[in-house]
Amino acid sequence: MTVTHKKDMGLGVAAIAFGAWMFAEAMQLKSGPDFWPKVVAAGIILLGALIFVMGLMGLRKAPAAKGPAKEKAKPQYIHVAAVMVVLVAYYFAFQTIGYTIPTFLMIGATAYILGYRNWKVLLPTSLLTSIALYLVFTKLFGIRFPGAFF
Amino acid sequence: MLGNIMAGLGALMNFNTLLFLFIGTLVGLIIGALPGLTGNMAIALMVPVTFTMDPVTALAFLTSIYCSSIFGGSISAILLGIPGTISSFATTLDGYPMAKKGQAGTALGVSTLSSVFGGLFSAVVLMCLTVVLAEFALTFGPAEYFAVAVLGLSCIASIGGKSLTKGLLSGFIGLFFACVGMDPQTGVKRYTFGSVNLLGGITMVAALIGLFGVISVLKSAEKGSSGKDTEAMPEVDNVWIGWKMCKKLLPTWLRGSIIGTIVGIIPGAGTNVATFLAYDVEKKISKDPDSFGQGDPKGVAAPESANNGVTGGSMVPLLALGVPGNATSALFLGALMLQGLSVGPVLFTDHADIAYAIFLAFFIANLLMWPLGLFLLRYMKTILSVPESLLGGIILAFCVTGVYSISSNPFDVAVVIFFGLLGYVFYKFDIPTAPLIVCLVLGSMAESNLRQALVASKGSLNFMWTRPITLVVLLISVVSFFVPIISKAMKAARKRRSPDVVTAGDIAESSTEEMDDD
Amino acid sequence: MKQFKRLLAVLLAVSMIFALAACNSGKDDDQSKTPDSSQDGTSGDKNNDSQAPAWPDGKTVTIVVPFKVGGNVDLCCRIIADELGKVLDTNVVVENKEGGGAIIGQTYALSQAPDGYTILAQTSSFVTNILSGDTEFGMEDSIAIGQYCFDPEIVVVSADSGITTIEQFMEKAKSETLTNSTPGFSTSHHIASLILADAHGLNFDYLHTDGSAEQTVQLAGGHAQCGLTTYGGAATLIEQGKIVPLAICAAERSATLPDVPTMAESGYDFVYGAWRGFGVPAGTPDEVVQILSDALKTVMETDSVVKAFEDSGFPVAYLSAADFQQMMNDDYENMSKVYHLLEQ
Repeated sequence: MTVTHKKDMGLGVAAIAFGAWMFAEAMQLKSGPDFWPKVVAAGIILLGALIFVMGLMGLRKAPAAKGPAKEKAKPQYIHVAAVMVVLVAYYFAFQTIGYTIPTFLMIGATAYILGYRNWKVLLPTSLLTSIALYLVFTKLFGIRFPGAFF
Repeated sequence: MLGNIMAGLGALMNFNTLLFLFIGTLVGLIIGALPGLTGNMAIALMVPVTFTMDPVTALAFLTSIYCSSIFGGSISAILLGIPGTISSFATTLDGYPMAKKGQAGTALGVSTLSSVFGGLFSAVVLMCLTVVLAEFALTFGPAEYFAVAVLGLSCIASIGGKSLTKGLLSGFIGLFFACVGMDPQTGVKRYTFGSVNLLGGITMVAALIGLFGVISVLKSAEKGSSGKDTEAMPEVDNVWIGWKMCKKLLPTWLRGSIIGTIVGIIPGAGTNVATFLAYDVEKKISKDPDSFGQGDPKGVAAPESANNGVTGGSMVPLLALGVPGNATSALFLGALMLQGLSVGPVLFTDHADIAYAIFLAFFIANLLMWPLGLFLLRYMKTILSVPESLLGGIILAFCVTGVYSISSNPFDVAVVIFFGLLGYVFYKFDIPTAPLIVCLVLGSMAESNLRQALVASKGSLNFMWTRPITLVVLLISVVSFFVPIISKAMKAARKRRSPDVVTAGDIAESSTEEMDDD
Repeated sequence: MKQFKRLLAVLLAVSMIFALAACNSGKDDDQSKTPDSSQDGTSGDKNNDSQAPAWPDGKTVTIVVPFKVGGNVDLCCRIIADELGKVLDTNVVVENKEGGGAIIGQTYALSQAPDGYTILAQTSSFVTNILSGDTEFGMEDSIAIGQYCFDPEIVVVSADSGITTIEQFMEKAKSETLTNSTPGFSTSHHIASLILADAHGLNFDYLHTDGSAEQTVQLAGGHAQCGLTTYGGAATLIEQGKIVPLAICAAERSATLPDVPTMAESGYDFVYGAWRGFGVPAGTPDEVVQILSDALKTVMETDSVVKAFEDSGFPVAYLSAADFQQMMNDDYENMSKVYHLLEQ
């Protein structure tokens, strides 16, 4: 439980910092368009402070003796990061290389990261999906994809 | 009027027209179901094609795409938890949890019947009351638009989930993202970081798909390969929900349809506000508001009947005044004009048969949706039997491609990735994402109209109480915002069995309590 | 077995998508079969065959529309694209690249290879965007092909305002401040209002709505007193008498509004409107520009196109490549003088 409260305090601080930045940016705007962002920024700072205080109060109240509350599977952050890397790589690849090949690779790589290992299904599926998507979007919707190859 | 209906029916009843109604319904369903693709896109592509058709066939075709694509959006919302468009976002809130509980069939069945009901309801309203209601659309000035936006925003207190403060924080961050871009009133650039891509603001669908599509993949990545086989595939139940359920949902459908139709008539407010409101109202009057968000069929029925209610409503100002109520009806205007037809009262006097054929096309399209929807869904729900690990990459491919196709701008893909990451951070900190979406959608509408209203009133705030519609809607918003907070506080107080009188001021503490509870 | 089933499901989905695609191309066929290719169209075809067989050589020509699908410009381009395809005997497609106040689409189109296969839909915003300083391109980065439409501004007032003549309007706007509804900041309607106000000392408070539909509703509902707009968007409300047209900012009266005087008739020299045309990236060979320009001329004289434009309320106004270039340059000159009004 204490972890939650500490996390909330961190969140509160982050929100305050973000709100402060937003407010500072709004200060540079001329009068008129600055009003709404300032109100929003003030709201974010206020909520951040509230979350921080509540976290602090909760931390004091909650007896540390509660111990490990739930035995949850530890999140595999490395997998999350890997998916993000694949996505970012895809973002650049589909603009330079083209649509179909990066899409094919992206589907395959994501499935691999998520733990899918049956290549007999995976390969045809990702191949068919990428080609089908390409055909539908270019032929049916008249979309042109960037990149060198199709 | 009966004569006109018969004339319209006569115009519709030929093989070619009916065939296109059928094709349109099918095309709309499939396009609506694909994340990122909207019926709007399909209609826009078809408008020049309809140029060569006869007017009735052309309009019937577009009408059927419009109606069924709105319904189609609920399919990916329910099965994958990814709302393809903003209008099916509220459906996700309960539809996806239902699917996870193994009630995907029921959820899809509810969404089908709700859509059909909402569509038919609005078709009837369109047919009977178009001329009367058109004047209503004109009463909306900036002050009224502002009030409607506030009403939409007020629901963030109730859809925010367990912690009120975090829900509000999410909402305010949504308001921040709504500020990004060129200020609509002065052209001043705000938070654009010098990027041309941000001048027009953040593409809402891209943000939506990032927050719902990418995050679903990240969540299954987080579980790692270890947990993949332990999660049993949910049993998929029947898509036909039975008459008993229909009877139970009837009041929800009625409310949803009425909200959808009325909000649909207000030009510019459109589908988005309607679905938020319908969902929110249903949650508030429910005896068991906590079941919302956990897979309550009413949480699917309300927004789905509302967003199809909008279809007919949005045609009212178009047909009666010649003013399109939303982006889709703007496309209809283009189609009508290409056919050499003028809209407005002239349409009813000079081309009554065509006007009534449009009404009836709405009717038939919605009726067609029923069997077609149920038939297709039988097969579409098998998507759930595909393992999550294989589906992940395919989902990403669909999301990215769909979003790219909106405006052929690679930057939108970057927006998807960014919001996917943001959604993941939100998820880690237990911050709900629903309020962010609501505020992102309505933020600039609220700001822009507030400032217009202030200009019109020469800087005075008196428009808030001198204009009856504005006053009433704002009062409802205040009630709508505070009711869930107060009831939550009271519940917490009851739990503590404390005799203290709880006021809204105690929220902070009561939410702390609640956090201790979990 | 189970895997096989899955594969089958995927195949089924894919084949459905293909069926859809086939369905669409079938419709396209239908369209080309319709006998509306007029004589101009066919003769233009032959001319191209004999004079310059090399271009476009059956390759697809793309019109980049920097606005969203279904907008006025998009609609115009889609009408033209069909006919242009027939005249050039190739496939002409429309590609929408919206966003950034049209800058994204404009930048994209002008940075493509200057071979004539990518055409930019030019609008007034091209000039205003360059003046805003947000663009990487300048006037010299585009070569004009031709203008197809000029939509003059109309001064309109809400029926509730009680104003009935342009003289009354000018008087009132001088003595008090009127609320002026626009379809958005720095749109041609807004700029026209700014120029008019600057020239005659009129006082406006601007309400910038989101698009011409909202603008006209605000006027019809009496939430704003006046505005400048174009005929297409306001036609129905004008017919119903909810919006009153006072004067048209064109050299001569419009056929659609014969009773509305021009500004010049009323003693105010003011011609302003939204122009639409096509351009190609600088460096495109002259012959290609010529072929495109001639083809556009043929298209704009085709009966079906003229009718479609008339029905949609877009006034056809063809200008040749040279005239259009001159017009854009003039517009740039004029706009650079008044651009500071936007920045106030």
